[in-house]
Amino acid sequence: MNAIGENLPFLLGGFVLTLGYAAGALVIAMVLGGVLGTADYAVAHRPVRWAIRGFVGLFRNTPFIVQLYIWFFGLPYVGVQLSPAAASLAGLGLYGAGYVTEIVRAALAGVGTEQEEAALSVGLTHWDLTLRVVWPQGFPAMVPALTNEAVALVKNTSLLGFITVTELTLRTQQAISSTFASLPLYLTAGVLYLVVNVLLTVLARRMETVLARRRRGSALNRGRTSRTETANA
Amino acid sequence: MPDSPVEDREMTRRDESADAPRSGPGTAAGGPPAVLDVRGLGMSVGATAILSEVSFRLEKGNTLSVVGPSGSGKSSLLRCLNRLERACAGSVLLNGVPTDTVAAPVLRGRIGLVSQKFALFGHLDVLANVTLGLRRARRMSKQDARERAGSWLARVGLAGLERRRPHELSGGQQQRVAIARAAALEPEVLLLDEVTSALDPELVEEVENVVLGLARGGTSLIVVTHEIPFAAKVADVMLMLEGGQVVETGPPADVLGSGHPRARRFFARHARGTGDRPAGDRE
Repeated sequence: MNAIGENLPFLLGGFVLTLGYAAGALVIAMVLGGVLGTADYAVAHRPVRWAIRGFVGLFRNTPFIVQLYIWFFGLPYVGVQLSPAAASLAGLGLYGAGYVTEIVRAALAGVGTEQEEAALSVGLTHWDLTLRVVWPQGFPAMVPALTNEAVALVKNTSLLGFITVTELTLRTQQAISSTFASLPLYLTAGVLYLVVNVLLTVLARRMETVLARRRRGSALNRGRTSRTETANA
Repeated sequence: MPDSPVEDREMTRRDESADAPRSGPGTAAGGPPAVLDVRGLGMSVGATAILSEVSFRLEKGNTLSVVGPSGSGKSSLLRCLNRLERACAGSVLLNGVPTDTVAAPVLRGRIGLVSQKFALFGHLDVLANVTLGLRRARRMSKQDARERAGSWLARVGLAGLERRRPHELSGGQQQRVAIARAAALEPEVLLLDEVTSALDPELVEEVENVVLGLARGGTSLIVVTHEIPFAAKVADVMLMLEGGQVVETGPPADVLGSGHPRARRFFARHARGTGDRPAGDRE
């Protein structure tokens, strides 16, 4: 207990870094994955789709730790030296984007050809149908998988210590090396990861509930939702 | 005296056709102006011919009903006309202009299609379902789009349901929204693909009445249907397809009384009530 109390401020400092890297990488992964997943669904130009699939294949099918090493230790061989922070954000962000791309593409494809053809039949362009018909209906299906990805991303920050980023796990190991209290300190770190991931999961569940209620168009929020969507139409 | 405006309209048409030379499908230049002129339309999937040398003309304000057994190519014909199917041979002239010179989104605004499965946009309310095409394809202002959508929804008997979500409507109401959504674009030709086939029998009539209303209002229609009595009632010209080929075409009475063996067999099956009419089939 003493080891926890003495090292808690040190661990919390690492936890803040963990949250920062996770948030930054999450933004990169969601934005890049969202754009690439949408393009993979909507763009008919084959070379573009092949390039997107190459990106997904590369980042999804190789271990994160290997990618992280290449970002930090490999790129200097071609004259590019990234700081630990930049390598961490690039590594985590692009690794996550590989998964998010597939999540988005699959959810959009799942909306189905009937909706696509109905939208085309009223004269919508392919981009209009993608953004105004398919995306709003595909998004609820993405939420659970994106939540999984966000949780995985938070946990993957624990590998950033390999390139000298003093995030929560590395600081835990440093504290253990001076106190030898491995079990209490690892448990403390585990609890901190658990708290943030449970919060993420609860938020995502809340979002799923709201989206489901909107889709059902319950009497409670029908007026508000309809006004919003009609205004956007 | 006719009992209804529909019968009145039919009688008027028949009287006109009795006086004037028949300008049935395939009529060459010199007849009334054709809003749609289809020449030698063909479509294949691999080695299988889905449509072969299909030709007909649709005059402005007229209705063409397309009948035939399942798998005869009826839905594929409509999908070729508004280019949901790309691999179609032959030529289609819309008001004299080849449709392959028109961008697909523009063409689809001019040749509207309503499918048998409604496919309303579930995330939008009824009004927004109708205004979406008006705003994005027709570039209408929000106010104008709402006014036109409201007018079409009233015309199909759905005034007051603008704020409902699609899942809160009956099948018949959903199909009427789908018809209003396509008709509100005021296309030069409206294609209706088995719009009653996914409905319970008691809902069929309400949708058929909407289609009759459109035909009465002068919309140029092509109606694919398995409901032979309705096909005869709504159409100026009937066309029967089988195996992707035109078997018979002409005024409904002539087609129904055709001596062509395949047509006779098909209509006899329907008269006995054994004609195949699977819900949701798509050729």
